[in-house]
Parts: sequence; C-alpha cells; structure tokens
Amino acid sequence: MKTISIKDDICIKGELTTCGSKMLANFKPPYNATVVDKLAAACFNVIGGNTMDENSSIDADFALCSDHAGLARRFAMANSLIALKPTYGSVSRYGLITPAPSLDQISPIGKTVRDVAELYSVICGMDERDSTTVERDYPNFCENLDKGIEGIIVGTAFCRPQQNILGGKMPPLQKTIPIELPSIEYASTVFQIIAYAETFSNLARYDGIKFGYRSENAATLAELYENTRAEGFGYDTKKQIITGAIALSRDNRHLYYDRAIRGRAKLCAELDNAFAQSDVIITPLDDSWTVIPNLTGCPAIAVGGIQIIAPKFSEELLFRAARTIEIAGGDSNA
Amino acid sequence: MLNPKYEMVIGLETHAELSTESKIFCACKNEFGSEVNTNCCPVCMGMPGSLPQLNKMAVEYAIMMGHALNCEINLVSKMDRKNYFYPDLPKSYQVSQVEQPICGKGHIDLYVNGETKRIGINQLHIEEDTAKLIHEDDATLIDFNRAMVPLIEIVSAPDFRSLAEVEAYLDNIKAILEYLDISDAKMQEGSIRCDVNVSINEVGATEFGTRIEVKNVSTFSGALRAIEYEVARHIEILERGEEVQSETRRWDDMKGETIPMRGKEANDYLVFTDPDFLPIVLEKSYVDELKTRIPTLPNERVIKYVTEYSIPESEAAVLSHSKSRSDFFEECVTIGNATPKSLANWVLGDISKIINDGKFTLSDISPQSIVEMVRNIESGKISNTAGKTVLDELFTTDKSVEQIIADKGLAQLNDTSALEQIVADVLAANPKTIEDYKSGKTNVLGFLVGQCMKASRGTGNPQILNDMIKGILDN
Repeated sequence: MKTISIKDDICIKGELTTCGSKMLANFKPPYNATVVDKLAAACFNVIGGNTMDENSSIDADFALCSDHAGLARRFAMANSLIALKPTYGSVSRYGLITPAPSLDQISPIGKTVRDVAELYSVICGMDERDSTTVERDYPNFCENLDKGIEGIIVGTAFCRPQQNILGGKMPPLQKTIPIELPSIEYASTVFQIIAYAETFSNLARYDGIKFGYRSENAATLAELYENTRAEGFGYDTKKQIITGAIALSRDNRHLYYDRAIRGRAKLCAELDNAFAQSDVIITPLDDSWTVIPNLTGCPAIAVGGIQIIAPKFSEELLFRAARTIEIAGGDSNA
Repeated sequence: MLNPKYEMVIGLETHAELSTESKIFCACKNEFGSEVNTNCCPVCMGMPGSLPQLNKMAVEYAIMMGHALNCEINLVSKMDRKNYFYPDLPKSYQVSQVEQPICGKGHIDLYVNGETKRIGINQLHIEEDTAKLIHEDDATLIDFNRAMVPLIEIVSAPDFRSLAEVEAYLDNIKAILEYLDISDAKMQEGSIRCDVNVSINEVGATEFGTRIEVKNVSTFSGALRAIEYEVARHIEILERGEEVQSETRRWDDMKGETIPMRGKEANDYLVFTDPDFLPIVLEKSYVDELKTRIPTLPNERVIKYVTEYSIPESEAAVLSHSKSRSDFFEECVTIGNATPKSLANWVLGDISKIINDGKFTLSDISPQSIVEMVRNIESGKISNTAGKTVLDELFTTDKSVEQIIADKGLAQLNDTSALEQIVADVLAANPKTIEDYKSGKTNVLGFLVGQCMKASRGTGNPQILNDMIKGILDN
C-alpha cells in the first residue's frame, strides 16, 4: 500500500489537525478534506498530522501539502523532491485550513514526476463542496508523460543578474525564447498584501467562542477575543493579521488592497501575454517567481531546482516538460 | 410629526428570511422552531477548512423579489465579506453583497393618504443570517440553526417623509413576499427585520440633516416607534441649538427607546470579495423567465381598487394583502354584474369571518355563486340579512343560490301588506322604544327595523320597513 504524508492543515476526521498552531492544538475536525476521501478511495495509506517546512522531511512515498506562498515547491526543492502547484480550481480546497483562499491550493509532492502525476490524477476534479473548483475532463496524467516536448516553445525567464537559471543543464529543447514580466518586481508585495488581507479575514474565526484555543484570562467578551488571539497566535501570524486589516481599512485600502488587486490583474495579463509567445515558461524559484503561479492561478512544477509554469489546466504539458528535465538531470527512473 | 418646522427623511434596510428548503451556503435544513443546534454542520458553524456552496433557490427568490420591486437585475454579481467580531457570527465575517449586488435600482409605488407615492430601491442583495444568541442569567448560549439561513436585504432610498409611508411600505413588502411565496414573512419569528435610517431637516432645506441608523428593529410597530422616538430626539437636539451626531443606535423595544451602539468611525467592515465564491453569472433568458412568474402585486392592486373600484384605501389594502382573497375578489369582479364595492365588502366581511373561524376555505365556495348572491341583493330580490343566510348555505351545502332562496323562503317581501302585521307586532312589543323615538331619539328607528327584519327572517325589505315604521310613528 502506498503511504502518503498529509500536512497538518488538511482535515482528517477525528484526528488532530492543528496547523502547527496553539490556536488549534485541540482541534479534531468532524469531517475529512475532499482530498483525504479521494486518497482513501484510491487505497492510499494516509499518515496525517505532519508539519512541513524547508527544514523537515517526509518518510512516505507521497505527500500533500498546502502551497501557501510556494511552501510545497520550496519544501520539494530542499528535499530533492518534485511538487506541483495545481491550476487554481482543479483540486478541491474543502478541508484545507488555509489563510489565503484565493492563492492557496493543495500540492501533490513525490519523488518522481510520475509520482506527482499519479497523485494529481487522484486528487484533481470538480467538487461540489468547493465552489471554486472547475468542471472539466481531467485525463489520467501519467499516460503521456514520456511523449517529450517536441515542437513546444519554451519561454525562459532570466533572473537578476542575467544568467541562464538552468546553469547549463538545459535539456535538448526544440526552441527557447526569453520571457519577461514587466511587473515582476512587484509580485512579492502584491502577493503579501492580498495574502495578509485574506489571512486577517480567514483567521478571524479563531475567537475562543466555538472551537480551538480559549483564553482562561477573560472577564468580558472583548477580553475573551483579545486574550484568546494574543495567546493563541504566533508573532508572525499576528503581524500578518494586523497588516491585512490595515490594507483593507477604509482609509488605507486604496493605497494597499485595491492597488494589490490591480497589480494582480496586471501580472495575470502580463503572464497571458507571455503565454501568447510560449507554451511553458521556465523560471527561478525565487520569491517573485514562486508567487506568480499563486497570483495567476496557473499551474507550476518544481523540478530539479527550477520552476516550470504553464497556462491554466495545462498540467499534462507541464508534466511532460518536467519529465524532460528530470531525464536531462540524469534521473530517468520511473 | 411634532413640529411642523421640520421634515423627516427616512430610509429602510429591510431583511427578510427566505423560505428555501436548505440554508444559503450548506445543505442544512432551513427551518424555524427545530430543537437548538440540530440544523447545523461544519459549514454553518464556520469550522476551519469548511467552504460555502451557494443555494440556487436563494438566488432565484432574490431575483423574483427584484422583479417585484422593478429592480435592474445584474447578470454578474459577487459575494463579499463583511468582517466584524460578534459571538453570533461563526466565521467572524458575514457573507453579503456590498459592491456588486444581484439587484440594482428599482422602485415600488404605494397608495398612501389618497395619492400614489413612489419609493426608490437602491439595491437588493442576498446574504447569510447570523446564529441566534440566547441570553440566560449567567451565560449566553448560541443556537446555530439560524446561522446561514438565507436573507435578502432590500435597501430603500431615503424617500419616506411620513410614518404612514413607512407603514404602507413595510405592509406591502411583507405582502409581496407572501405573494411570491418566498418568505414566511412572520415578524414574531424574526423572518422580517429592519434597520432604520433617520434624519430631519427644516422644511425647504436643500440638504438632509445628519443621519443616524437604528438597528435591531424586529417589528413593524417597533420601526414606527423607533422613528417617532428618533425624530423627537433630533428635534429636541436641534431646538437646543446643538448638532445631531452621526452614529448607530439600537432599538430597545421593551423600553421604547434607542440606545447608542457605536460611533460612525467604528463602522468599517473591511469589505472585500469573498475568495470562496465565483461570481454569480446569470443567463438573461433565465432572469426574463422569472419575470413572467410575478403576479399582479398587492401595491398595484391597491391602486386599482381605490382608483377604479372606489374601494376605500384601508379596505383596499386589507383586501390586496391576502393573495387568495384578492384573487377570489378579482375573479368575482371579472364575472361582472355586481359592483366591486359590494363584492369587496362581502369578501372582507362575512366571507373572511367564516374563513377565519377555520372550518372552511375559499375553495369551499365559488366566485360565481358569490356574484349571484350579491346580484340578488343589489336587485332587491333578497335583503342583505338574507344574503348572510345564503352565504352560510353556500359554504355548507352544494345548493345553488336560487335553490337556497327558494328553499329558505328568503325572497324579499316588498309588498307592504305582507309586512303590516310584522310592523304592528314589533311596535306593540316595544312601547318604551316608541317613547324614546317620540322624545327625539330618532336613531332607535334602526333598532325597530332590525326587529322587523328578524321577525321576517330577513325577508323584509329594510328600506320599505323603515318607511312604514317612520310613517306610523311620525303620524
């Protein structure tokens, strides 16, 4: 039986699902995330409750991890694994405890491109419980893996200083052209403002009233809110919540949130434009390029220390491109 | 209005719970009166990782109400989050439509104090209800059955200038919800609530005064009292030479007063598009099809009843607010040959009385038989009193009006000779009344006519009886 490690922010019925936070230290959801149900139906042995960051590793055949701010792809890179950030709306978020719903997706992680394709084939699909999922035909993504990318135009984004990010490991691609996103330097900031605004709202439910941590030191309702949240959240989370609230506030939103939304639309348009010239784009996995797939909803795969981005719902092509690089990198098993 | 120097300017935000089978964002039953916390699930309790699914029926009901209020229907609308903390709000944000509502500008025409008044609608949108707090001596408990019950909010323009207009508006909104069968519209169950925006200005002023909002008004009478209270409070403040402060106040129905809730600056809901929803995109053909399902509405009927049928305003309002009665009345009018005014009197009077007793419904009688009965009264064939007997028989038997009149001997006695004995007997039995009449209390005449009617089992012609008695007593 294939074992799969599930990050502790994906709900498993009756099991502690804590997001590594004091706030949810006692939280056992009475429901499974949709992906957990799908894995069980596909006979995966699910190991829940794992923390995942760049310093941890997994002891399983596969892993599922939320891709908040590119976490899954960075984790994969640190552990010489492969991670897919799926097209937004192709994997149900039901049961994913996420701070930023418009940006985050559940990412399949594996040791090979084939593993990731197999796992993605299991978890993708429209889910009535997640209104943002899209109904369409999702093929078996393992079938065309080795077809190569002949005739495919590969865009290459160069990072500063100008350097081929593949560091000479360029596989025998048919055709490459350089790609630029004129607004790439704003991507991180745009991402942070939107992510923090959504974090402010999505984490507001942790108020000590219904579930999770509740402060013992409260005589009034206001104190219950203040002390629960002061004691239950870590420093970084508090900073994000407060930043998000400021970004959304009546006096500031035109400076921050509204601008970030416009910036996001601009980046989407620029990426569309890039895809008018190329079929996939190879980029570095730096802060700016990591958040582009989250901001635009496009799929991306981390493989061999780089990232490949494709247009929405082009996972099949993405896997073929990743497999090509995997082979070029000398890892031609699977 | 206490002081004629001022004019009130009122706007209403009316919330109505929709009577869909399930809640707006989850499959839980939408049902009033269930045992506490039995109609709830991870979604309506706001549990981590749960996501909303929009109920299509709630959207449909909102569009229908939008059509009823002549609103523009937006083919693309979206859901927003209003963020604030309160224990009745499980997610600490309410999903509503702030920036792009499903229905835009519209209006409703009301008949108030002898004229038609148009009230503008600024927008109509869907949103989720909150959970219900139950306050006990040492604790506050939460019932999540109400959380995520679908609501529509109807935001009026600040077009009301009198309490009568507010009352007519609320009565009509309630009646329209019932006509469309999209809300239980029961005040006592909290299915309609409103927030009231009040300002006053001197008559003729070019700008509105400072506006305050009164929340938590759960009855129509409460809305009227809250407005009266605020108007009086504003006038007092202005007369003292001070200024009204912009704020949100809460209506305390028990005490009959408004209490400050928060200042204007605290009123920032940090609104943004809810990322858990896709935009609501509607087909024009679907929206148009829904429009064909809208019947002639009570406010339109009132105007027709008053202007075309000469039915008094208050009666026209009562008649039109029940769709079944109003439909029945209109069927009668369509058959013709009886005046709408008399038909209305029967529908509102004796027919309603019998139905309100609970044993019968309108389906137990036919509009044809009612028209025939009224026709017989209007032609003088039977008296009004005999008509009541006919009506009772129509409910309880299958006989025709003609048969009932024949069987019961109800045909009116217009022949004075046949009535002479009855009049003589009644006068002989009421010497005291005759004395009263002669001493100037001429209104006792009606009593004597009534006695004669009774003695004739309703067959006497009351006008002839009246003339006969008067003739005897005055000589």
